[in-house]
Amino acid sequence: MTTFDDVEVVQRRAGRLSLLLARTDAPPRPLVLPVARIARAERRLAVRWRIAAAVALLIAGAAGVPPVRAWIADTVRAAWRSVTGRHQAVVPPAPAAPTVTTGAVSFAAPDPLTIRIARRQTAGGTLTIERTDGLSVSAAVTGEANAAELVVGPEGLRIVNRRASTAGYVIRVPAGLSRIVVQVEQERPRIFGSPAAGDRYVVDLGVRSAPVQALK
Amino acid sequence: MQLAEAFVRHQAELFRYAARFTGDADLAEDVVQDVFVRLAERPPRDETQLRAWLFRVTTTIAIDAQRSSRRRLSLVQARASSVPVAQAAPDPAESVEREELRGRVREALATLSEKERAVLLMREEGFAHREIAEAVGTTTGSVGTMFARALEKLARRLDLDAEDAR
Repeated sequence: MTTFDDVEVVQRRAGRLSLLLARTDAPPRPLVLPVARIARAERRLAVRWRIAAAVALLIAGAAGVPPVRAWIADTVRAAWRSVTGRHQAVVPPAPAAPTVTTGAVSFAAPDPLTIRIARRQTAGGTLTIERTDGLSVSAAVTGEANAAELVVGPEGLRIVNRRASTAGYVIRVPAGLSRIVVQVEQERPRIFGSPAAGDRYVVDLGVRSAPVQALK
Repeated sequence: MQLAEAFVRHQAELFRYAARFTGDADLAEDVVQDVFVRLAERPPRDETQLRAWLFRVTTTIAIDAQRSSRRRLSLVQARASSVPVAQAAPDPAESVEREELRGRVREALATLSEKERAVLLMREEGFAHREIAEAVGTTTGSVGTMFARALEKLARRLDLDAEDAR
């Protein structure tokens, strides 16, 4: 059982130990943030993300090619037969629409992050903002080759697209950002908080479209 | 919070903690740098718990670093005089006394288990028992017991119960 005396003893010892530790501490050192190692680590993360995206695109693309799709379907049927012991029609999953990533960029996130889109697009298109657990912003153009240039500046990202572009733009932002400012052409800027886990913001870039939807 | 801001805010206390934990200031410096690389690679999901996360990771990395450099550590321990001097003492006798005291404290801490040392030193840094329990992988209830037991061991070695102890 703990008695009042025990507590007193522990407190007295703790106090004396604190003094001893403070007297015998190693002197403080001017430590330096290992910027080069951190940059390498962030590059590794970015590379991993790109590899994952490339693999996903390859799989999605391959599923759209008839021989590969047939092979996948045969494999699924064979697997099903081996499990059930009978022939059964298996409907292979619908192939995902092939997506072309025509440009990608990654950079340290300023806070607030500003994203400017040069033009609304006649044929439509969306800007999607998603949360990531990293510390960098990554942006990718999807759907159309040479649709836009991604320009990184001190306050964030500028997407220099054409009126005739049909691309979409996916921006992944760190969870800790306080604000994300999105400005399309010279319109009034829209301000979002950093998306929580599972949230994403979609901004329609079509010429006659309504502005913003927040999706869960 | 940006990485650089976190570094400025926490590096000194993490270095102090790691130096006390490992007994080796050079190793502590490496540990702190590793902690911030880890922060860049895999930041905590809950940024409000950043300080506790940093100390938890410091503890883990310090334990790994200490185990993987036992030979280096033993050399450092064998050369008590090689430990950096906290501040230039004008009186040589005082300097010698301080060095001797530093060696005793380091040796006493080294007799504790890694968990006991983490409990003792994290409490010294002002953490709540709940946070310490999460960091060392134990229950909140046992933190107080481990702390008292660690103090008991140190009290014998460092004369913490002596009337003139300071």
